[in-house]
Amino acid sequence: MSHRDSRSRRFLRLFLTGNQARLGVAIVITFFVTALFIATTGWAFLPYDPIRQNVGPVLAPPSLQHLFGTDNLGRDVFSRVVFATPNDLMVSCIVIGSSFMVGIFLGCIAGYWGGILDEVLMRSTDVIFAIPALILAMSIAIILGPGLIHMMYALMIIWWPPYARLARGEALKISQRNFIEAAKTSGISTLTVLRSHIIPNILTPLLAYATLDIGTVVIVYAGLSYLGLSVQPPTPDWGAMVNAYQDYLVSAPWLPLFPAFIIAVVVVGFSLLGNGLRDAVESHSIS
Amino acid sequence: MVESVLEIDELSIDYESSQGTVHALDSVSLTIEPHSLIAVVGESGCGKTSLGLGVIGLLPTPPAKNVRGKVIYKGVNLLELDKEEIRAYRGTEIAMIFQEPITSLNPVYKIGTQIAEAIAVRDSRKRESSKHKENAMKSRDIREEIIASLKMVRIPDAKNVADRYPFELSGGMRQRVMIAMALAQKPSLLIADEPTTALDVTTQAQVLKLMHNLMDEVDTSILLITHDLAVASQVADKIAVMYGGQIVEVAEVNELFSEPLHPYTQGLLSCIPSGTKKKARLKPIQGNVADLREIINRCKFAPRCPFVMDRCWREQPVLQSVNEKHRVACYLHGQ
Amino acid sequence: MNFVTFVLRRLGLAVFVLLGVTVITFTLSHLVSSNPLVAWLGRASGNSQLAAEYVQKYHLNDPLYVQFGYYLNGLLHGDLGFSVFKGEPVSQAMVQTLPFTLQIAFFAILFTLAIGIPLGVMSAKYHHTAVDYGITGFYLAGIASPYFLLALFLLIVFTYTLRLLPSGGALSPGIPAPNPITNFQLIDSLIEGRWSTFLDGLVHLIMPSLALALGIFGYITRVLRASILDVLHANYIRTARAKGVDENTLFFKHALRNASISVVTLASIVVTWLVTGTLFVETIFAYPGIGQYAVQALSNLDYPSLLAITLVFAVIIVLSNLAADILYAVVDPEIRLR
Repeated sequence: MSHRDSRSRRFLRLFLTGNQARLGVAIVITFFVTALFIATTGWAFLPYDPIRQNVGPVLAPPSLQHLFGTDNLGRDVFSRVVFATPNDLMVSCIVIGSSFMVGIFLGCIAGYWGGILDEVLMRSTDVIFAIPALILAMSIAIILGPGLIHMMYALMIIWWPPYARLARGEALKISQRNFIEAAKTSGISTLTVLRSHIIPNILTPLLAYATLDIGTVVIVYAGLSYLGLSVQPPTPDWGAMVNAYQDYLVSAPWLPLFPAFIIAVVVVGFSLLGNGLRDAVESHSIS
Repeated sequence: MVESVLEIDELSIDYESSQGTVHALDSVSLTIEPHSLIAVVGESGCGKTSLGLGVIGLLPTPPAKNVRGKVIYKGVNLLELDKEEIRAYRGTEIAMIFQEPITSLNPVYKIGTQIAEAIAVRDSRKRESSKHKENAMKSRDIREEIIASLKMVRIPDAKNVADRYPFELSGGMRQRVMIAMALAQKPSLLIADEPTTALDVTTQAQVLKLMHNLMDEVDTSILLITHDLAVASQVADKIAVMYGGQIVEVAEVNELFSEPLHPYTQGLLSCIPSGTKKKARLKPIQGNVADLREIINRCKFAPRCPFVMDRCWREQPVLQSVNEKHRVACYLHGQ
Repeated sequence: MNFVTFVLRRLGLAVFVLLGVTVITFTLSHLVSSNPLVAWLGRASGNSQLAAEYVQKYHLNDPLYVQFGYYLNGLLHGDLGFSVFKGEPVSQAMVQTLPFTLQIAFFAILFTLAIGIPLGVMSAKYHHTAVDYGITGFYLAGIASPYFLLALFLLIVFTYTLRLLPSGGALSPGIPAPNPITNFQLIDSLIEGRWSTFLDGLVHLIMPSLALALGIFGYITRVLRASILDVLHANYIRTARAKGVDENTLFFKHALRNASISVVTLASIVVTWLVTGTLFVETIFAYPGIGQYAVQALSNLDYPSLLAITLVFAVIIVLSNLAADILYAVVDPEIRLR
C-alpha cells in the first residue's frame, strides 16, 4: 500500500471488503443502471412495450417469453416492473438529497448559533415528527393533487427534520471543541468556519444516516403509490401495480407479488449498503 | 510455619494476539500468607493483571491460552477446576476488585441491592454446604449487614448511601463500596487490581489508609496489584516486583526499600520523588518494556540493565533467597 | 429534578406539540380550498343549512386567528367535522373505527415483542454463527418489505394455501356481533359472555397484527442484539462474575436489564410504523379500523375525515412517545434523578 494512498482511497477499500457492502453495492448499482437506461432510452431495451396490451395471453404465468408473466390486460409484467424503476429511485434520491441539504443548512445554523434559532428548530421538528410521514404526505397530496412530481414535492417538504436534528447535534458537539474557539478568535469569518470546519465533520454521520434512509423513502413512496396518489394508470409504478393486481392474488399471485418483492429488494440493497458504510466508518475511525 | 492462604507455583499464561503469542506470565511463583498484604508491582504490560485474573479464574480464554502451573488454595489446585467449580470459590473464598469503580458497579441497581446480592451468594453457599437445613437470611438481617459493611469502609451516612445509585456517588465512595461488597462475602483473599489508579491523589491516600486499617479488622489477606511502588509502600507487608512476566524480586517492604537488590527495583525506587535529597534528579529507567513475544533464555532486563554482565545474556536467572526475608533473580547477587 | 417534575415537563412539551399539529391541520384545511367550509364539510359544503350552521359556529367569515381559536374550541369539544361519504360526524365514525385499530395495535405490539426479543437474545448469544446470520436475514427481509407485501404474503400462505385463517373482516359471517358497550369488540364480547364471538374475533386479528409485527420486529432484534453484546463487555458484569454470581442470573438480571433500556428508545419508530401500516393492512384484510377509514376517505376526497385522522394519529404518537419517555425514566435511574 503506497503512502500516497489518500484517506478516502483507504476508506473505499475498507468499505468494499465487507460482504454486506458488496452485495448492497451490487444491488443498488444494478437498479441505478437500469433506471438510467430507462430514463434515457425509454423501453427500447425492454422485451415489450410496458403499456401495450395483449402482447401475450391474458394472465399468463411466468415463462421464458414473459419473465414475470402477463396481467389481466395482456401486458408484460416484467417490462412494466423494469420500466417503473426510475420512479422510485428518482423520487427517493431527490427527496434524500434535498432533505440532506436543507437539514445541514438549518441544523448548522441552529447548532452553531444556538439560542432562539435552536429552540425554534427543535420545536418545529418535534411537531413534524408527531405526524407520520406517510399521513402528512397524504394530506399534502390531496392539496396538490396526484402525480409523481407532486408526491416528490410533498415528501421533500416533510422529510428534512431528522437531518436537521442530526446536523444540529453534530454541529453543537463540534462547535464546543477547542479548535473552533481557536478559529473564531483568529478572526476567520463565520462562513469560513462553517464551511471548512463544521460541515466536513458532520458529513459522515449524516451520510451514513442518509443511505439507510433512502430505503425508508422508497417504502413510503411505494405506499403512497399504492394508494393511488402517484402516477396514474396506465403508466406503471410499483406500488400502484400492487394495488391494481391485488384482486388477482389467488388466481395470478405473481402479479401483485413481483412488484412488491422488487420494492423489498431495492430497500434491502440500500440497507446493506448503509450497514456496510456504517461499519466501514467505525473501523476507519478506530484505526 | 503457618499454612499459606494462596500458593502460586510456576504459573504461566500465554495470550493469542494479532502479532503472535504473547507470554504474559512466565513461571511466576508467589506465596500469600494469612492476614497479610502483598503487593505485586510492575509496569503496564508486565503481566500483573493476568496474574490476578488467573488466580480467580476470570481470564478470557480466548485470547488467553496455555495456562500452566499451579494455584493452590486451601489444598486445591484452582487451575484444575472447571468453570462451575471455580465459580464456587469466587466471591466467598477469593474476591476481586477492579480499577474503575465508575463502570464496575451496575448503573441500574442501588448500592444496597448490589451488596445484598453478594451477601445472598455467600448465604446460599453456606446453606448448601451445611449439614442442617437452615433458612435463608431474612431481608432485615441482610439490610443490617449491608449497613455494617458500609460502615466498616468508613462511608458516612451508610443508610442513605445504601439507597443510592452508583452514579450518585463519588469515585472514592464507589471504590469503598466495592471493597465493602467484596469483604461482605468474607473471603480469605481479596485481589485488588489497581484499585486507586483511577482516583485522585487525596482519595487515593484515603482508600489506601482504609485498606491498611482493614487488615487489622478482618481476616482477609490482600493481593494488591499496582504499577506504583509508592502506593505499595504505604500498605504492603511484602512486595513482589514483576518485570517481563516474571517476578524478579520479593522482599518484606522495609527490606526492599533499604536494600533493593535487583537493578530494576533500584531503577523504580529512583523514580520516586522522595523529597529528601536536595537537587536530586529523577532517573528514569532507560530503554523500553520487554517484548513478551519472544521466548528467550536470558535475563529479560539485560538490555536495560546498567550492571549487565556476559552471563546475563546467556542464561535466565532464577529467584533465589538472599536471606529469609528477601529473594531476587539476578546474577549480581549470588548464584 | 425529580420524577414528577420530569413528567410535568414532558407533558408540557406534548401539549405544545399537539398545538403545533393543530396549526398544521388548520393550515392544511385552508390550503385545501379557498372556501374554508370545505375543510369542515367536504362535499357537503353545498348544503346551505349545514353551511350556514358551520359558518356561524366557527366564525368562518372572521380573520384567520379568530377562526383558529374556534377551530381549537371545536376540537376540544369533540367536533371534528362532518363526513359526507359516511353520512355522519367524523367523531362518530372515529369512535366506531378506532377501537378496532387499537385491537390490532395491541396484538401487533405483543407479537413484535414476542418475536423480536427472543430473537434478539438468541442472535446475541450465538453471535457470528449461522443462527445469528439467519436471524439477521429474516429480520432484514421484514423491515425492508413495503407495508403491503407482508400482508399479501400472509394471505397467500395462511388463507389460500393452508386454509387456516380467514381472509379478512372482523368477524366471520354468521357470528353475532356484540352490543357496543365499550366499542371494543373483544372486550364487549367478553362482557356479554359471547365466547364464539370473542374467539372468532381473535382469529381475525392474527394476520393483520402479524403482518404489522413482521415488518417492525427487526428493529427490536437488531438493537437488542447490539445492546446485549455491548453490555456483556461492561465492567460491572466482570464485577458480578467476581462475586460468584451464576451465568444465568448474570445474563437476565444484569445484562438484559441494562440492554433493554435501549429498546425503549425504539418505541417511537414502532408506533409510527404501526400507525402507518394499519392503512394498508386494514385495507387488505378489510378490517374496519381507522386505517381503512382513512383510505376510504382518501378515495372519496373527504377532507374533514382526512384532516381529523391526521390529528388523531398525531395524538396517538405524542401520547405513546410520552409513555415511552416515562418508561425510559423508570427503567434508567440516571434519567430520572439527574
